[in-house]
Amino acid sequence: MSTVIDINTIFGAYPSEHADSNADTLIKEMAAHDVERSFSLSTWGIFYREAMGNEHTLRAQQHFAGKIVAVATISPHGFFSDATVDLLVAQPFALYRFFPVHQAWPIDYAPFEQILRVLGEQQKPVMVTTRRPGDATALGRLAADYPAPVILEGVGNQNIAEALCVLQTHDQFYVETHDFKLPGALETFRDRLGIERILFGSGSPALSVGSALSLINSSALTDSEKTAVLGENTLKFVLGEA
Amino acid sequence: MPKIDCCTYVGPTPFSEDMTSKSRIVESMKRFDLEAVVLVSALGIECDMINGNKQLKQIVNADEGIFAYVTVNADFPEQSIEQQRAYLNRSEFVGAVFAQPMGRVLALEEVREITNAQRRYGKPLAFETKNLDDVISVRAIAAEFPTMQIVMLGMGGDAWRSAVEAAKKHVNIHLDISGSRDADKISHAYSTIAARRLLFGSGMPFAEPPLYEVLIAESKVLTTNDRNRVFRQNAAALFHTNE
Repeated sequence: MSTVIDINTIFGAYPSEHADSNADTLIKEMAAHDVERSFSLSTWGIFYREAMGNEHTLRAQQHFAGKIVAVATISPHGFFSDATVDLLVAQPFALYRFFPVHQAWPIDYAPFEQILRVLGEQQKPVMVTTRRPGDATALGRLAADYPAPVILEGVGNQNIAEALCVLQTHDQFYVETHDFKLPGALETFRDRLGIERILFGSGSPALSVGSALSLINSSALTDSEKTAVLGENTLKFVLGEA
Repeated sequence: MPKIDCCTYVGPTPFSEDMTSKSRIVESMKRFDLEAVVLVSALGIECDMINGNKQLKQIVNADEGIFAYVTVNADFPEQSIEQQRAYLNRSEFVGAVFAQPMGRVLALEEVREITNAQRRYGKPLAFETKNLDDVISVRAIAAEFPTMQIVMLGMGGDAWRSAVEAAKKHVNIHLDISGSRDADKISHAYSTIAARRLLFGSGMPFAEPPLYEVLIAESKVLTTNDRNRVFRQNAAALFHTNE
């Protein structure tokens, strides 16, 4: 059976939409679906105060040791000095996520550019929500020379062609799968880019991890390709463990 | 468990021709254990109502479980009423669906004439609901026409909670569960409006039925009978697919 590593989970309270999304729920969902580890962060970091959210995330990583991989978030709205990023980089975060849609800022945004520059100097992997048309394109330009993995999150039926173009141009770019629905899309990414550029994500516990797994398991990928998507790629390219 | 998919599009995707001909549709139905489908013409709702409906007429077959919504368009009320007249007396056409080209949100006054005409046929009226604006619009239409059975295709997308609230307030609203894949969506809808007005749909070929079967299967509050209702009985009763 494949080791499942979920690159996209978020725990905590939401201002709307999702009711029961706390860390305990996440751990239960992981157990129910044999997910070994989840990259995760607190909703407070997205919707409220990033420092408090990041602290929650580190506590969850400590409490659920070996299950939760801590992810930091930084809002460009509150970025006033490189020191903010330097402080985070010194802590045990494995990935840095950005939420331009939730926080209402454009990808082509000077504070974000500056944050990427500081993170890039430390070769830290980043994941960015690119749900709006043009977001992935803008990120491709902004992070064209980024020296670590850049993961596109929020790629769905509406922007799959754009994501494909961006990944074709930039070898350090990867795509996360939680919003994939279009039959044949996974196979097209594999054929055009190689299986190693696809990382499994679910959006759990708010979104159904079972449905996200079903997408991979019912695809035409071979067993070894499914294994790569479900965990090996993340282990190798994001955690550097393989 | 056999299922009726009440939100199935006819048309190609960038990667698939699975839903472009009758034989391919029949193959997909077998592959996903679908006893019936209710088709929406992608051509009809995105561009060409008349030819979209003609295309559906060539495909539908009640004996094979292939049903359809006739497409109507708020910008062309006279032609839409003509389409209703041409198709809705046929048993294979089990409802009508409004075209919403380029994400257009429909206002009550725009749909009034066509909705009035729909009442003659005693068949449901469906709307694609992809966001909160769509839900608000359809809710107003449902309130204005309380005897018209209204189907919210896509269950409001990310605004599914608002769709559930609309269905709670207006008992003529039925929710097709395709759209977002939130883990608590089915349980919340069930606890608010029960299973009777939930309809299984996938949005195939833009998604595949197993993605939504999982949502039903994993909802702990549904009994086996409830699941059977959502998967097939509710649609069979609403669309009279067994008659």
